[in-house]
Amino acid sequence: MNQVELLFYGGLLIVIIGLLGVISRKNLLSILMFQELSLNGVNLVLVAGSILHHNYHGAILSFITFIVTAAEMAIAILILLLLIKKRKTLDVTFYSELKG
Amino acid sequence: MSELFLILFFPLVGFLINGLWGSRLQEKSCALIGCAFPLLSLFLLTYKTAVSDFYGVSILFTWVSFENLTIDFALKLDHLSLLMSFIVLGIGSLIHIYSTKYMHGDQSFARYFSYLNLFLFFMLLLVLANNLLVMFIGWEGVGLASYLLIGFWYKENENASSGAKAFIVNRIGDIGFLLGIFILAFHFQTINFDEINRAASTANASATMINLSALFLFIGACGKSAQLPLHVWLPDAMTGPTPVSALIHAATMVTAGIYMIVRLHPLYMQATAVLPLIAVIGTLTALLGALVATVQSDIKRVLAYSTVSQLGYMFAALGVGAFYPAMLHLFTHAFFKATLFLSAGAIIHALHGEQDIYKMGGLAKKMPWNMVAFLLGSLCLAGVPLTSGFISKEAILMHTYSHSHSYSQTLTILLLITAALTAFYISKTFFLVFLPSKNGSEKPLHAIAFAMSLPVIALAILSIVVGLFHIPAFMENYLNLAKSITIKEEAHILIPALSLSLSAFAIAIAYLITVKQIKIVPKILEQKFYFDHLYEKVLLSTLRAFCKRVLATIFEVKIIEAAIWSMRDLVLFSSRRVTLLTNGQIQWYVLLILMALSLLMVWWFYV
Repeated sequence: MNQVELLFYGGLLIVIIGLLGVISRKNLLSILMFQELSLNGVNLVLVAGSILHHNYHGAILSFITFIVTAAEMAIAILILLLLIKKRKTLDVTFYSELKG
Repeated sequence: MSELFLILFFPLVGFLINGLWGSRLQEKSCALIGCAFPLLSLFLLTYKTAVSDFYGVSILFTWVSFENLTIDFALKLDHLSLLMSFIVLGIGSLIHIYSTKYMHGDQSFARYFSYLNLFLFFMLLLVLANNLLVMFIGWEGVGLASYLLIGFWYKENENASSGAKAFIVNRIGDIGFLLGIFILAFHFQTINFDEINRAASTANASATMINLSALFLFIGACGKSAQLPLHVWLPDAMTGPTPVSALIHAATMVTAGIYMIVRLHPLYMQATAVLPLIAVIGTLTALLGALVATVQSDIKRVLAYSTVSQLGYMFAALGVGAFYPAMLHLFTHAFFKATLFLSAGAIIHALHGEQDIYKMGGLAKKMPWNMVAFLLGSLCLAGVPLTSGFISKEAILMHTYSHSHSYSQTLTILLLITAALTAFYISKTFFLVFLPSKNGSEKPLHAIAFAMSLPVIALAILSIVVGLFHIPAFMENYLNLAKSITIKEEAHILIPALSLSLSAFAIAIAYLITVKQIKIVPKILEQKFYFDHLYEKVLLSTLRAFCKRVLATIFEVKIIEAAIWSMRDLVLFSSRRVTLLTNGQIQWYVLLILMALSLLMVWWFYV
């Protein structure tokens, strides 16, 4: 297995770990962190794809992801702080207003 | 459509008119309608019988048609059913006339007459039926009419429950009757009386089937004719109006069981295993009824137990194969028991509803005509010579004595004891009611209208007349029932001598007891042999315990409720599982999305 493949599968693994974390964690902060993790994994996969195909599309896309993630995080942390202020908890099981 | 249907349907018309519009009519017009239709039937029957013999079968329509079983809605008039029809319509009409005064002023006058007409319709249907199924309609119908009339004054709780008791006890018998019909239909492919009787006499008829069907039909007869152990309803049926007791619970309906067995007597003659049972049950019922009657204080209950006892006599006769004496006793008993009931009714009416014989007395002077009627009825019941009761009772006793079985001597002795007891209780009642005594109340009597005295006197005269001349002998030839017994030589002298001396002795004792007021009464008799207790303690309490312990706790809780709750649980469980899909948790939605995505990917890559 060469380096590129390692990068690709490693990134994929991180994506999956991140998604599983998003699904299984109950704390909203952890969920956000796992989400960041999976986005990082996505970036790795993008870079690996870029190397594999010998172009820069993947690399450029990974930078866009960075920016979007940073902006998203800025808003997400704010929402998080407001939730703590309002509900005094970060446990997602208490946030079930979508329940049908 | 023959005139037979007219005769049958006239009372039904009366029932419909009084039942539908009776409440808007005057009492007089109700009475007129109620009496007119039975009388019309009676006159038509008499007229047709007089001018031509119109015996035969008339079919209204084919009711049931299977591959090998065809049942017509058919009526049959032969000697037997003609005789019964005359009893039903004759006594019925007289009792209708009597009722117009007895029920005078009652709130539900029209209802009473509509029920009475309904009863006559069903009784005629029972009597004239050509097959067992048509008879069964009548059989159920008279049960219904009886129930309605026993509970006629339904506002009293006791009356309503007596009606229910009669209905329920009869229902037990009716199941037997129905099973009997099924067996006959199954085995002979017919339920037509003549065809059954013909088939039963042939060699290839199965003895088991004959015995079984005879047994089940006899159970039905036990219910309707108040035989042991289904007799308990009849004494309670006395809560109905007295004319009803006379018509339904003495003269006609309760004899339906005997009539049915006589109708099927060729079948019963083949049922060699059932006949002894009938004889034993009849004798025991006769004895127990007479014993209980000796201690009753209510005049109507005395007569009711007397009826049970006399019906037992008839069954004893049927059981030894003496069908004609049973029919003769039915005939004479219908007259003299109706007389007794109607004059008892007049006494009760005159005494403002008093029924306790120990509170009566000295009525001989106040109601001489009634006294004569009651006396004639009592003499018939006690079996005094020259009365009709004597002839029929002696006939039964002689046939039982001459019967070839080993137990017939025992039966004869028991029936002789019953005869003595009968003489005892009826003479006791007569002495208490009519002889002067200090118990009699001084209240002025309620006047007895002519319309009430007339039927009583007419029936009293009839009950003597039917035993006179050659009427019994004529009837024997006329009915022409099968005979299996030749009366032994010595029976002609021995039986009358024995029964007369025993009866005379009993009457003497009754006189002494009522004059000297000695009260030696075993408790077992006062408690009517504990039959009601037995049913209450054993059957009802078992049933109640069963209901409470098994039905209420196990069946109700474990099965019915469990079934309902488990249905609820199933619905809740499944809907909870469905709502899990939309539990409001984003993570869960994400998981679902991911799972769907993975499935799609798998599909995309490998399919």
